[in-house]
Amino acid sequence: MDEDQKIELNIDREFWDDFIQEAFEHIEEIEMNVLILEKEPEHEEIIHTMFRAFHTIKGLSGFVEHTVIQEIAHKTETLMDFCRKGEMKVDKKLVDAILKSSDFIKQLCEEVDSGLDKDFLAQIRTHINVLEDLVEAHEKSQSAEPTTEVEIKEIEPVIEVFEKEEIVLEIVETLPVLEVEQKEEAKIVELPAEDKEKVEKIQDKPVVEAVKMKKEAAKKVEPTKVEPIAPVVEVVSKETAVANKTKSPIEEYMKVANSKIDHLVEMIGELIINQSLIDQYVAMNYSHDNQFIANMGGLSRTTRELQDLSMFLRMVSLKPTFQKITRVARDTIQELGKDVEFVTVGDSTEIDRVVTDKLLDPLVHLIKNAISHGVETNSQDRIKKGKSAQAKVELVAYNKRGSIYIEIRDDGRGIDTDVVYKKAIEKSLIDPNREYSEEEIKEFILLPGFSTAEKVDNISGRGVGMDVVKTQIFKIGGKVDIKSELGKGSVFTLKIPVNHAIMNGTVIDMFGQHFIVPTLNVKEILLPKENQWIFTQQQRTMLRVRENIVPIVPIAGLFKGLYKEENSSLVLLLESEGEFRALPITNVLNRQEVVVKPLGEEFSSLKYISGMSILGNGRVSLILDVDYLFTMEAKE
Amino acid sequence: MITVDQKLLTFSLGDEGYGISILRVKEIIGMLDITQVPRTPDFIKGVINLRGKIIPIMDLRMKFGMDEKPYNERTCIIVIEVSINGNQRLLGVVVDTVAEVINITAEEIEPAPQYGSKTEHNLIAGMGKVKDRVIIILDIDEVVFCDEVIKMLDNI
Repeated sequence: MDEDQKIELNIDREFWDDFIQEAFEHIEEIEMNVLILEKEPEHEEIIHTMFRAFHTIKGLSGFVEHTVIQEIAHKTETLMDFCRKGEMKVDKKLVDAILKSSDFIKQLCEEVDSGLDKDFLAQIRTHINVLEDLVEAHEKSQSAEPTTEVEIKEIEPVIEVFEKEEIVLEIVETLPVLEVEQKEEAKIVELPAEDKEKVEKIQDKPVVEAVKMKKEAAKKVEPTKVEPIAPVVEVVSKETAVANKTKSPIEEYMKVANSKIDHLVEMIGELIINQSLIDQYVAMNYSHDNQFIANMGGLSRTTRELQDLSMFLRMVSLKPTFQKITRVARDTIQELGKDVEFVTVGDSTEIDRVVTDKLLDPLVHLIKNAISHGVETNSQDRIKKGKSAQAKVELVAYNKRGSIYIEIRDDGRGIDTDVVYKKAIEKSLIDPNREYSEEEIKEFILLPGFSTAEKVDNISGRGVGMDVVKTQIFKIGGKVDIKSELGKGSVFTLKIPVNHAIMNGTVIDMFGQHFIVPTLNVKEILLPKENQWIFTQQQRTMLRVRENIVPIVPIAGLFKGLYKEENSSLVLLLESEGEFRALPITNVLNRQEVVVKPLGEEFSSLKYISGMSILGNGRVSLILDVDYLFTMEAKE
Repeated sequence: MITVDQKLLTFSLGDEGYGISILRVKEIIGMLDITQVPRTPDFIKGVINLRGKIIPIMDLRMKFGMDEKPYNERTCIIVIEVSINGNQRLLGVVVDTVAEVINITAEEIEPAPQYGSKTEHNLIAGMGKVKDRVIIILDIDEVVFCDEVIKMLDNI
């Protein structure tokens, strides 16, 4: 491969797309497995899977004629082959090489259109050389040893299996004498392992086949019901169970485009709306017709069940997300040279696919943060504090009351509120005249432009990030909570609704029209007394709530075109990021789950609404964007 | 300038007859409950729920600067398909009454008169002469996309 070689793909785009998709799946599998392998270097099954994965990529890349990917895959496959044969030990060097291989393959797939620059190709060249060195070093060490030993090694385990189980159909059949003995004594005689002929025969049989034979043998033995054989049968049947498990086809899957699923879910959402319209109408006009009411009830139940099912369609496990994060954590730990154990718990937790996509970036940031800022710089500091030298960073996911909780825990330094407070004052992010509670101070790290890291590095510390985490999580309807104890560690908890498209909303009446406010933001519903209102220029601008003065959302400007002068008696106390606003309303109707429909292109510039929803009465309601209401000035 | 034969959906606003290409019309529905959307131009009446789809409603009378007229049982919403920033969207247009679908040949269509008026000249694709009537053929993309709508997209 010349360094300035450009890869020409004389194949259909379609083939290439298929290739990328398939290669990505394998790469993802490899990444997951290699990290397990790092912990359990002798996990044979995983070594085999990885060998196969690289082998497949090699084959596929050959098909699309991508020689660079092919070469990387081939070299890595060779290394995996050595491991597979037990000739090579999995060590850190190898794990690094494998990860690099998968990174390069991924990058090559992604950047096929942009062409390859020299530097990148040179990097790949270096990597391929590393792989070659590993292969060569290994081959040298192997050639020094006698080859016969390898052969013997391969034979031995096969015999071992037979000796353990003490029954082999073939041997039993070809040695009638043995069978007789078996029945008479109900105890199996030693295998004639010394019988060279037989051993050679066995040697050719793969183990799986041998297990299959044993299964048959077990069946044969069972009916005779000779008691002492029973335990043997048990062992065999256990073995067959394992064999069956590996052989039985796993549930089959079908690839369906996300857009189709989304469309289906959307249609079912519409069905639900229609259903509730009909339900209301029937309840009003056909209450005398019991049969009709009963039938409608049945239909209603089915529709709702359908909705529940449709919600599951988009649910995916957090596994791929956690895998990617595990990888990031590993790289970060390595880059910083810290002694950190990274653990994930609950990766089988399921969440809406749309949400997982948006979850990756905030999680990556939080994990990097925990490792780089949370954990002490060197383990000496930890030992001094009476902690174990190795720090622990955990990523935990669980499901509670219709929400997904994701926690990022570290047992590091914890947040020093004094430092945070000083920093916030220094960067004039907060009001120096106000008293802040410990909890509030911890939340300062979520403010835009806040960063306590002294130097900017490529891990974190640019002061963007934590606020992005917060906004990202908020966009998917979630919340960030910080718990931290100085010297003991911190816990960042993300609370995310299971389904993004469904939100708990408080339906309010303003100017004769219904609006929806996310219940998450509704702190209180108040009926203020006349003396609680504070006027400026004969306008209500503030509201006294206990000892706090809360600004009133300027509804006249906000609802221009709809606003009518009315002396609202009720007030919705809204909360966002620890701040409060009072929203004067006519009435509160109810609190319900609403299906959020994103704003159409034509309304995308209306910042005060975050979406729309169709309520049970069939009318469209606007969902107010609470964050925007907080940014509004009184004069607007 | 229209050079091919057309199938038009005709409707009226006050005494005037208008026509739009039938190819753009998705359906015609009666009046539905409209939810007002504050901070939009006057001629945007709000949004409706069209079988689970939320679509914006434009009042064509107000768009053309005519007097507002209370809706009655003859008032219709013509649902048309438009392209906004490259996305296919549905839009409801409120008209006084929908008349009929007519065939009109290219010869029967004359170019739009050039009055030099700023607002409406490019909204008209041509004037159709059918029997003894004159029908104003609208370029619906221009109607939907003229200044104020763009303004609405840009700020507020």
